[in-house]
Amino acid sequence: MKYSKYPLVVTMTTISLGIMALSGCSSRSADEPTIAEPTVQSNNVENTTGSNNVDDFDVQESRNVGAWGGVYMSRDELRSPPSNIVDVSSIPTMSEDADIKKWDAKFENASAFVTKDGEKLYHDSCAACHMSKGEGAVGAGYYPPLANNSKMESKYYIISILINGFRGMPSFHRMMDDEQMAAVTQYVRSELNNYKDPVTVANVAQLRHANPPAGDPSDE
Amino acid sequence: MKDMLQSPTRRQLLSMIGKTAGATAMYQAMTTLGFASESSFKEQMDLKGAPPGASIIVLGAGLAGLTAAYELRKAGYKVKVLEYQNRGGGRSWTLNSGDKYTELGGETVTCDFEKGNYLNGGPWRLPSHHYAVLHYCKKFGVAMEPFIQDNSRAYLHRTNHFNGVPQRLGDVQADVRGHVSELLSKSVNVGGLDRSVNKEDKEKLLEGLKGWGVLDKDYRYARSHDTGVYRGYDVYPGAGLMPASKPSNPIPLESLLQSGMWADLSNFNIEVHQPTMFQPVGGMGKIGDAFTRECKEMITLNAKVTKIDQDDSGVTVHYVDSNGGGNVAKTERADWCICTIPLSILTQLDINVSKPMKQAMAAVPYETSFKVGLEFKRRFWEEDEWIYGGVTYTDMPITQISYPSGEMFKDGPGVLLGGYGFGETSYKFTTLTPQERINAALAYGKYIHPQYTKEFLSGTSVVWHRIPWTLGCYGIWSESSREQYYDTLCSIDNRIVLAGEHCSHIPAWQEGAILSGLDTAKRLHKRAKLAV
Repeated sequence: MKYSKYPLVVTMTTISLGIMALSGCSSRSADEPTIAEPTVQSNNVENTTGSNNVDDFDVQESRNVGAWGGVYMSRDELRSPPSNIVDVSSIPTMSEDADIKKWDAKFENASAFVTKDGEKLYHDSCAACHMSKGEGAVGAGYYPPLANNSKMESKYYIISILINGFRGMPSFHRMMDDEQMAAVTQYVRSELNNYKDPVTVANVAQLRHANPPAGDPSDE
Repeated sequence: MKDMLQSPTRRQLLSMIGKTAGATAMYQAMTTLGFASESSFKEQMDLKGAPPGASIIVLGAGLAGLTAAYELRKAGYKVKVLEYQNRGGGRSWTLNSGDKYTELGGETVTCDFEKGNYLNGGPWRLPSHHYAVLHYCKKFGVAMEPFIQDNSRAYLHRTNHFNGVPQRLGDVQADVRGHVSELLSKSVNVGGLDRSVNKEDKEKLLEGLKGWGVLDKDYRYARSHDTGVYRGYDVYPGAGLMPASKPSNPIPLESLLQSGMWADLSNFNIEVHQPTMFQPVGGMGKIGDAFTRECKEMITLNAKVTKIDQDDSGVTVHYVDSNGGGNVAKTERADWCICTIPLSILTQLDINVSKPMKQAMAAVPYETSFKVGLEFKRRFWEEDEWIYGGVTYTDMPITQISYPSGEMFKDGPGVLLGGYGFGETSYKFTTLTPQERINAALAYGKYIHPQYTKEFLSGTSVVWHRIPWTLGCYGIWSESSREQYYDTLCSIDNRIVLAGEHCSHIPAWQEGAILSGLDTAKRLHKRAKLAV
């Protein structure tokens, strides 16, 4: 997924142009183009012209100027409306927004775990409960530490919990593929503990099964 | 209660939602659409005739536990409630100005909003068919006001569509109706539905589509003065020598379909989001507060349960001071125990129940969810964008922005729900520090509301997997786990019975917790009378 570029210059004339004179609603002939079936088909929904028109539709139309989104107190005001406070050009283009770049790296532009990097996977999922250094936490209940934990010696123990969940911990069956599970298991074992032998995709595939237990909302 | 769990249609629907709208939408659908049918609550409970001297200990002072405690005390039982937190109400909880709490991991979350502003960390809206919770609100004098879920002026937003400009919900709704009506009319007119619709119905259908979709005489959906009546105007009707009105221009079908915004409309169509919805004036925590007030004499706060030990004549509960307090072990004994401790925690405690019950307790994982509240110097969403309440949905990680349903038109600072989501995005949000969560919500939110940067005052957040007293948001059920474990989980295990939203068909909703409290109270009362 990539973000589209916003136009650098947006003039309010686009809005005026967008507001074409109407000739009434019932005088069109049957083969005149309609919204649902325009004469010129365009597959390009991205803006390429630098204006805010997409398929002849002014994307800012519903956030135009004038009080209450379209009440103009005079004809003069409509001819030269004041600039729009929520005009999209008032914010930086996403691709040029250093702040967003940082967050996009974290969130991966997807409601999914995309990376195959074990360290990032750990810090995007496991760390939510087991904490960033694998230290765990204690409240009314507890999250066991993953660092310096002798149970981590068995890679199959970790993989099995990732696939099946464990008590309150949800299954990651649907959220991570074999490669991701292998990578994050490797990180937990060799970085948070001192078990250096490799964890392979085949190790995970061995334990995968068709019917993950409760906790996988995609359960069928 | 109508049981929809076996319906293949529902599963197909969820699968479709999952494919078109992504995991977040599906998780929402699971909790709302699938499992949450209309409440079965009909009338208030009137239990009578507790066996003389019979006692009950309730673990957890959330809505399930306090409902049961309240009703069973009325029936004549000696009831005590142990609560881990220093407050009652459980997840019926509001972060008010000046509040702070320590999350798992040791970070302190503060709420520095102006007095009167708040964030509902957990539940935040009540459907009008959640009769049980509304019953107790009325009974306990919790003032209600409308909660606005569906606001035509709120937005739907797709990062890669419409140049990133959010579109008004009402525009999308009108255009979906219009385009679908035009296409369907076309199909009817070329005989495409002749095998499904007879001649007479065909005419009715065309007539219906014309009115519903606002089609012209040729069954076309095109900008006209008629569509202006439904979709609004670029230039609104004025008076005198103000400019003449101009209807707004519908979104082209192709752009609309490509954007995937259609899928977001299910957020407004599902029954639990249908109007009228309510919220307590001053925050959802008012419900938790009211239950706590009504049950005050029964509750012991700061009690961390360490062991639940039943025998043939009763239950002994071991607990220590939640705040350390020298770790002096105390015990409390009663004839019966209602345990509402979240399963995420209960499965870690020493409790002697049957093996099937233990398996059932271990079969319910806990969902992840995050919320970020953002306070701004002024209500720019109202002042600049004419948005009064409602929810904007986006494909950015913040997932949604909700506008306050209370105190509209007020000058001065207002609070937005600046992010609320589930699934993988929520795990990622949870790993951030409280300050980073606010920063992320601001960084994304400004693409919908550019005013964010200039108007921001302060923020707060709740990430449920780091809440020390739940270790997660709510219990996740699947169709197979319901079949295998649900009845066992809700059964009375000798002298112990569980209650909570996790023992309901309405998980995550307060209605589920209260109904579970009522159902448990009723069944335990029956059992207790038999045991005499």
